This record gives sequence, C-alpha cells and structure tokens, in this order.
Amino acid sequence: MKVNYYHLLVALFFILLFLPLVDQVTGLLPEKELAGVEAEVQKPKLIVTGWFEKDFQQQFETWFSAHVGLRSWMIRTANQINFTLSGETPSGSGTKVYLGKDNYLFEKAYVTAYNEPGQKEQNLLRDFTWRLFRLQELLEEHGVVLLLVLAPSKAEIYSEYLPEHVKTPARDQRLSHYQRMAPLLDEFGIHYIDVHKLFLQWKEQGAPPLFSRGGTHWNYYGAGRIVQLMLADISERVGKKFDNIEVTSYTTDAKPFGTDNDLGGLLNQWSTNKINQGQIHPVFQRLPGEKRPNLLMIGDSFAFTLMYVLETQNLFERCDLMYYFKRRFSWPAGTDNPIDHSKLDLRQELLSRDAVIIEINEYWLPEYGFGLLRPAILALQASDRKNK
Amino acid sequence: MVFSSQTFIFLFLPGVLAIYGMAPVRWRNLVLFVASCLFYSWGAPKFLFVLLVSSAVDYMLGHRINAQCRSASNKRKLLALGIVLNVGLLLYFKYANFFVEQVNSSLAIMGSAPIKWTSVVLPIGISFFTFQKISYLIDVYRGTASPAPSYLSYALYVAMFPQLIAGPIIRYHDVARQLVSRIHSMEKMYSGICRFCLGLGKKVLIANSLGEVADTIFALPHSGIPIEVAWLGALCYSFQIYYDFSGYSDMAIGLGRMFGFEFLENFNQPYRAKNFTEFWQRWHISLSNWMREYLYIPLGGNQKGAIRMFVNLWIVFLLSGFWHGASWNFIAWGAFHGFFLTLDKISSHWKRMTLPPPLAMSVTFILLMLSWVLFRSENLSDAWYFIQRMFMLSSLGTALPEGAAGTIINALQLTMLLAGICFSFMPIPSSWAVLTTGQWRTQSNANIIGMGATSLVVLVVAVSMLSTSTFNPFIYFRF
Repeated sequence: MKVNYYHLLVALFFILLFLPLVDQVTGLLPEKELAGVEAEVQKPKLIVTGWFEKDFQQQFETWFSAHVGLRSWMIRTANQINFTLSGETPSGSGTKVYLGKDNYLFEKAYVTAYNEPGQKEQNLLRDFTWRLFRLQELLEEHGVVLLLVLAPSKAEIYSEYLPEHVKTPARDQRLSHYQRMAPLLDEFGIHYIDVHKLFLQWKEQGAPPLFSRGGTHWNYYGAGRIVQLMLADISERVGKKFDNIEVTSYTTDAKPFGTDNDLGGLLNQWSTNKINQGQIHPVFQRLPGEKRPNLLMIGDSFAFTLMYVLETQNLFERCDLMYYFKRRFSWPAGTDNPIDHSKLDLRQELLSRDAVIIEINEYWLPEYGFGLLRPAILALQASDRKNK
Repeated sequence: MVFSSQTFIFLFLPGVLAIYGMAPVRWRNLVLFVASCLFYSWGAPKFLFVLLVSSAVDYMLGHRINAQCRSASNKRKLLALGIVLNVGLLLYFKYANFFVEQVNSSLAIMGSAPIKWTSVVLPIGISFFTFQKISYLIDVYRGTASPAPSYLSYALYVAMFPQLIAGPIIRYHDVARQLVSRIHSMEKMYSGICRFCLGLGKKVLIANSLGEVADTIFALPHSGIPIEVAWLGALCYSFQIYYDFSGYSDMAIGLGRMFGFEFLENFNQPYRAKNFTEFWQRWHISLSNWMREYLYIPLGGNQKGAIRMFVNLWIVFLLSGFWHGASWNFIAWGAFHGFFLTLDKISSHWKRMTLPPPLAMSVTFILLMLSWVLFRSENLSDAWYFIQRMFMLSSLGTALPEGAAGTIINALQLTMLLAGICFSFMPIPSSWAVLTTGQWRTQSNANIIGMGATSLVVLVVAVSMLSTSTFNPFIYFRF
C-alpha cells in the first residue's frame, strides 16, 4: 500500500517538474498575461566563444526564466504570498509598490520623494524657470499659448493613507521641489495650473477621491476636471471658444479601467478585489465651442490620463503627445514612434499649434519638458533672427 | 547553474532524471557523468578541462599507489606527488591572488614596484573537489578503499553534480561501492524528493529572505548603525548562512538519493550546540570529518600530549578558515573558532566550567554570531567596526535617516526569521529523523502522505518565489 503512496507522490513531483516545460512547448494551459513593462529578452544563439565566455549560459538563463511555462501562475502565487504577508512587492529593479491604509497602493519612488527634501540648487531651479518663461515669451510672440500643468503625487495628496513605517517623522520640516518652485513660477509669471494645490483644496471641500486605490496616477474624475480647466484657460488666452466639457457628477463602481488600477495590476496577484472597490468615474457634459484646438503636449505618464479624456470626449482637432520628449503619440493618426531629434523641426512643431501644454509631475521637477526647453528656445530664436 | 534556478529545476533536472531513468543500468554512470560535465561547464566552462585532466592524473596515481610491487617509500612519494598536485592547483587558483596582494602590499611599504599579476579566476567548487580528490589518494594509499575500477567511476566521484559545487565533501571510501553498484527504489526516490524540496525551501524561502535583510544592514555605513540594527544584521546573517548552506546540502543529499546514492549528513541543528566542539560536530560535518581524518589525526591528534593537541587544533582551524576563503577575515574566523575550541578543551579538562544547557547554548550562539560577522564583512576593519557597534564600543556617527530602521525588515522577512529560529533551536521530534535516514517504510501512511504533500507545497511556493526574482516590471515604459 505504501508503495502506491510513494508512486503517487513521486508522480506528482515529476508532473510539477515537467509541467512548465510541457506548457512552454505546447501552450497547453491558459495563462493570463502579466501586467507591467519588462525588457525584452532575446533567445541566445549557441556559439563556441559564447559558451566558453559564459555569455550563452547567462543569456539562456535569463531567456528561460522569462519564457518558462506557467510563469504567470508562479509569479501570481509568489506575489500574492509576498503582498499578503509583507504589504510590498518583492524588491527588484522594477516599480515597487507599498500597501497603504484602507488598501491604498503607493509607488515607492513617490513615497521616497515625499519623504526627502528637494535637493536641487536654487540657481538650477531659477534657470529652469527662466527657460520656461523664455519659451512662453517666444511662443506668445507667435500667438501660441504655453500652459504648464503641475501634476501632484498621490503620496502628497493622500499621505494619510501611507503605511506608517515608510513615513519619515521629520518629513514636515522639509521643503520639496514643488514648494520651492511654485513661488518661482509666480515670480516669472508662468501660466500654470497648480494641480497639487487644487487637489488639496478640492479634497478639503469634500470632493470624491482624485486618485483611485490601485492607481499611481490621478483618476479620470480628477483628470477630467483638469482638462476642463486647461481648455478654459487656453480658450481665454487664445481668444477662441474651444469645445470643452464640464464634470457634472460621477459614478462609483468596482470596475477599474486604464490607469485606475495600474499599480493594482502591477501586483500581478490572483485577486485584487479589495483594491478595486470605490472607483470614481466622471460624468461629462459637453460645452460646445466654435472649434477644437490643435495641441502639443509634452509630459510624463500623467499625460496619458489627460489624453484619454481629451480623446474620448473629442476635444481636439489634432494632438501630439511627446512622452518624456522621447516618443511621439499622435491623434487622430493613432501612431506611436520614437522621436528622432535630428529630424525634428521644432519651430514647425511648436508654431503650428494653438497651445503647447507642458505637463510634469512634481516628482520630476524641475525637468520641465524633459529636454524640450533649450532646443525649443534655440529653434525659435534662430528662426526669428533669420526672419528679421 | 545553481540548484535554486529555474533552468536547473525545470530543464536540467527533469531532463537528466528522464534520461537516467530510461538508460540501461550499465550506462547510468555515463549519463550522470555527462550530465555532471554539462552542469560544471555551464558555470565554469574553461575549467572542465582542469577538472577532467587532474582527475585522470589522480586515477593513474591511485592505481600506481595500489600496485603490489611498489615499496612503501615509493607509495608515499606517489601519494605526496598527488597531494602536491592537487593542493598546488588549489593554491594557484584560490590563493595566488591573495598571496600576490600581500607581497605587493609589503613591497609598497618598502617603496618597491609591485609584481605585475593578472588575477586568476577561481573555478567553482575547487575547494570541495580538491578535498575529495585528496581523500581518494589517501584512502587508496591507506588501503581503506580500492582504486576506482574505471576512470569513469572515479571522474563521476569527483564531478558528480549533486555535490560538486558546495558539498557535502564525500570521502571516497564512503561512496566507493555505490559508484559501482547502488540500489534504486521508489522509497529512495520519494525520500530524495522530500529532502530536495525541503532544502530548496530552506534556501529560497528562509535564506534568501534573511539574506536581503543582512545585505541591507551590512551595506549601511557602519558608523550609523544603531545597536539593535547591528544585532539584527548579525542574527539574520547567522540564519542566512545556516539555511543557505544546509539547504544546499539537503538538496545535494536529496538529488543523490534520486540517483541511488546515500551521502552522509552535513548538518545537525548546529545552533543547538552547547560549545564550539559540539558545534563542529553539527556544522559542515563532512568538512569536520575530512579535517579530522586527513589532517588532525595524521598530525598526531590528541595522542601526543596537550600542547601538541592545541597546536594541531590551531593548525586545523587556521587552515579551515583559509579553506573557506582567501582573505584575512576567514583566517581570523578560523582563529576565533580555534580559540574557543581550545577553551573548550581546557574547560573540559578541568571540568569546572559547566553552564546550564540553555545558557551554554545561548552563549555559544552569541559567540557564533560574532564569528559570522567576521565571515560576512568585507574586511577585518569593517568586521571590527560592526562588532563595536553591536556592543556600543564606538560612538554612533551619522545616524540613519529617520524611519530607515523600520523599513529594514518587513513582515514576511520577520516571519522567515522566526521560522528560522524555531527550526534551528526546537528539539526535532523523533519522527522527523526519517528525513535523515530515509527509512520511510517504517512510517505510517499519514506521515508519508503528510511529508510528501508538505514537500510539494514547499516546492511550489519556492519555485514561485524564484520566478519573481526575474520579474521586475515597470508600470510604464519610459521611452
């Protein structure tokens, strides 16, 4: 009888051992794709020198780990255990997530920034602000509006939900880059929407959550209200009445989409039900205008939520998003390409628009435009001199 | 390739087990040998040649030593030649960089130009297989074992992948017969699987978790480490090294059983030791056995008077420290153990200093923690600084950022630390001894099913945990 038990357990062991390989070859078992962006790993070619230098072995192990069958099953199991017990994702080179109070998730990078003072030198901050001002001035000379949108960090707006152990006690005495830069923006007369300040005000006035539990970015409700302000500001300064929206109300459900649950998704667990609760989705009312604007936005990942509202509400004639000034997403063409700076006609790019929007999260301050400012100023100044 | 890698668990191991199981009995050693060569060359492709050629030399020397016609003096010379060749390889590959570094430091003090030297790469497992090769030559010389019947048999003894990289160090006479003929049974396979899975769990779940904490603490600027953090670092490292090493030994023993071998145990709850002598009867037992049989006893052991015994002990422990690594840390670590072993001998001689067992165990463990600081630190001055912080002997410099200490260990790591402490110190129930003996037929069905199920659950959790080490996704691509 015992022999049968040995057989059974040995057989189960062999099944566990062989299953990933069988699944890798046959794709027998269904695997739900893992959320998050990973570096692509190429299958190495076996060559003699590669073998003796151990390059092949290292590359093969990396490739095999990234392609082994049932990988998503294993990762979800490990993440579920890790997160349930420690409230953190495993340490690694990717995006690390903390579980805060009431199932609020926070991205570690923003929590670190929340705790630390803004350490950049004041001269540097002034220099960036001056460049921003200069670009605003040059664009205005050509009738193009520049609008800066300062996106807030979830850790700053909802710090009460941060897990206690990640908070630095002396944190309140520090001055962040945002706190140091806002007065400079006022001093230089930059046109900007201070979403950090607005969100804190709205929150105090009893607004619904402006970040979802499982998201690192502002939710669609928060982004919708910002889009409304952006278009109103641009309309006023351009002197044309552009189509706009008004966020009239919101719905609450447990159905996150898009950026609502980007951190929750990144956990890659079997269940994120608790995190999905209480999703706020905006209800829009269209405010028709004379036309729709032609926009250029330069920004970070917070810009995607704005773009989603702009696109789904049909609020632009044409719009390009230069993501970190490295990739271009174009609407309505629907294209996505890397930016070749050597071939980029910045003057044409900037001056063909009704408005240029620079969106930046406070985490990235003072890198306004992510490298756009200097070449843009040079391009506009050079062509202006030529024209004179 | 390490046992705790997906390539090993999901590709190499199933492949080798399948081919081995299907191969006729007379070909099984060949299958295992080829697999071992592949395993070794995966991690050290350039050194496979060194391993195989030096093994061929040992094999020939073994047969010549054993030849009846040779005189005792000739046999001794051949043995000496074999030992010199093997120790020479070890000295060159493992210690040449260290020696040249010391000479260059001395030359620098004297204002002379340093010796030009290209660093030698250390072949993995050389410390372990060198000792096995020496064991073979001595066993044949002493007549405790016959020379290997074939080169394949001997090369398999040296290169067998389950124990090639991190032991246990197997004495030739312990496996000589198994290399020729061994029993394969379902009970043995089952026993090997349980042992392998539990070893993998020790390594991946406990050692790796505690390793993250220890690495974080030892990487902090030592002057800023608060006392409690310093002790936490030493504690985590003490359990990390135990579960890492004993887990690896468990995996090796388990794999050996899957292929029909029985290797001797390497660990026996070492932190339950009440003194250093007992510790070395429980920690890395195969090394202790080797040192006693091939070094301490030939030096005279305790048979030539007390002073000679102490000298022998110190020789063994300084060499043992140096065997662990080519740096002053390891020599100091060996000296630390040598010192407390000497004290053990003195106190047992006088029979005056006997502490109650729990107190003796605690004192021994605290001293062992200090010795692990020597082992873990980058250099002696780092180790000294760390130990000073543990006892507040140096003033606290720039303190860690506020709140930093709270993030050093998370709930999962704390759970693993507590589990590690429990499994290290609690008396093992007698029914668990079957994990060591492998005599499962004496157990009830419930025990067999329970242990099998536990092992498989540990396997699933451990391989799942392994998968996350290669999955570090970003929320969005940046560019």
